Amino acid sequence: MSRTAYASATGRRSRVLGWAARAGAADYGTVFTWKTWLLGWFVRMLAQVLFFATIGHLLGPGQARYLLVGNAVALVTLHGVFASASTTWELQYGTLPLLVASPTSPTLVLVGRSLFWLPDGVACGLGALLILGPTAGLHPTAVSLALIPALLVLVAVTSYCLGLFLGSLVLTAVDLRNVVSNAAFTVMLIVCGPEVPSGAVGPVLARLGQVLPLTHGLLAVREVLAGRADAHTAALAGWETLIGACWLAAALAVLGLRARRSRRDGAALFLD
Amino acid sequence: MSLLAAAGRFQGRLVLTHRDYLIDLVRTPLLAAVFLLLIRHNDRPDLLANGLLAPVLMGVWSMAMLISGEVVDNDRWLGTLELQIAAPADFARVVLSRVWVTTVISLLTVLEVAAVAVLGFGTVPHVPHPGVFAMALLATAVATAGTATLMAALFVATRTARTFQNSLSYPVLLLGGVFAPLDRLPEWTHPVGRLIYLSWSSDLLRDALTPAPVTSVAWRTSTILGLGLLTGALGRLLLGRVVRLVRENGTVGLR
Repeated sequence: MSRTAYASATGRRSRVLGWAARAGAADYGTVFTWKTWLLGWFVRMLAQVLFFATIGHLLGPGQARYLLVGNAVALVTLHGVFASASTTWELQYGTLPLLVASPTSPTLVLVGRSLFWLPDGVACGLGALLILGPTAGLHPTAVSLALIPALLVLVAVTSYCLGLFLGSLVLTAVDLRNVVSNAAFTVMLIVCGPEVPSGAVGPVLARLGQVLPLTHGLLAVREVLAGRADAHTAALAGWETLIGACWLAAALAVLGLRARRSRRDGAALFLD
Repeated sequence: MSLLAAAGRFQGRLVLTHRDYLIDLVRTPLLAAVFLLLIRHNDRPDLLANGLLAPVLMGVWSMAMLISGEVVDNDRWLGTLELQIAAPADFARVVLSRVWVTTVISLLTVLEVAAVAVLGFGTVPHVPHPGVFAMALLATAVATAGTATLMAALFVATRTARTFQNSLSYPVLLLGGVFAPLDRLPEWTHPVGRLIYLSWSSDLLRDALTPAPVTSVAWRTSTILGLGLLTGALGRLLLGRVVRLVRENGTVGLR
């Protein structure tokens, strides 16, 4: 492919992604206004972090801070994993057959249509750290204020990739969308380190945590907040990126496979 | 009685066959593992009652909001609301029966959490005051059904209430003291928290799981029941009003 043709194809893909993201954001806009988001959704998210931080106060010294940071970052993951639910909305709305029939890759649209979760998740996670942090003795420095948002964006993206993969599996099982996303998130609470260090869950579950998003990103956030940001933190961020890329590749493979199969057998509905 | 059985059979089949409704029955054992892990890791066996009760109350509350709360609204989606309103059976009684069945199903979480404690953590839950525990659980079920009836009416009466449906989880669970008692929160939260039946339920259920004598059982149980019956009565009143309004306006099937 010539350089011009390649640039043109990339531009077209970006446009499709952009339109898919705008359509998804429009979906979300019908659910919340900024007032209902702030007073409803955001307050609910803060309450979730506060719920666990209060448990930390009961458990013993240092636990409130551990649980506050863990659950604030886990909020970012929660939003990313919600992509599994919103990926299935296309089937619910009856637009999936149109996507399959269109000349554009449906995979590209499905990758872009849930991107609205990313800023939402980062806002909730960062808001929880900044607003509730002082209640657990957390006072971010200038360095951490610069690095934490970047790490939260990274965790949001890697979690989104996992959410896309899960969404690709339940694309036609619409009534499983919330079960899968919530079960996956709760498993991540166990094995990825927001509640207890991954070493406390045994070697098998700890190994599972190592291949999931959030684990390395959360460790990096904890290092930054402890004032120990160094090459090891960068390595953790690198691992988080690599794991996210693997989940994205898996999601693209499954979505592509299902789209091809759907076109081949004529159903064009992603139905099994 | 036949109405209760028929509504119960319908709702039972709906909950157990609609897989999205199983979300809390799937999530509760996992949440139990989270709390028991926290207790084991921090070596705080004295908080075992908190760890066992929290996932149960979270599951019961969540199912009340997500399933019972949507009973009427879902009927609108399914197109069965018109038929129910046209039927000679009292609509509010049908809704209440369905809410009750959902609440009973949500109590399966007690067995799930016990199973996780025994099989996953080798801990056999001990109930030093079984009578108090059973009574508190029953009162909690009544209060849950009452609150869920109010929510079912509210969610269909105003779209704004539905927008806040998801937000009724952790803020209520926090103020309801399902893990950390309400006393651990700042004092200004107590008046609001005490209006939530969960704060009374969680305190009483926790006391029933600890060896110390339980005080003021009758008063505390009555408070749970009183709050539940009050919200239930409000819910029934609101349901009647909603039905009358949609009949008068001719908007039964319209959202």
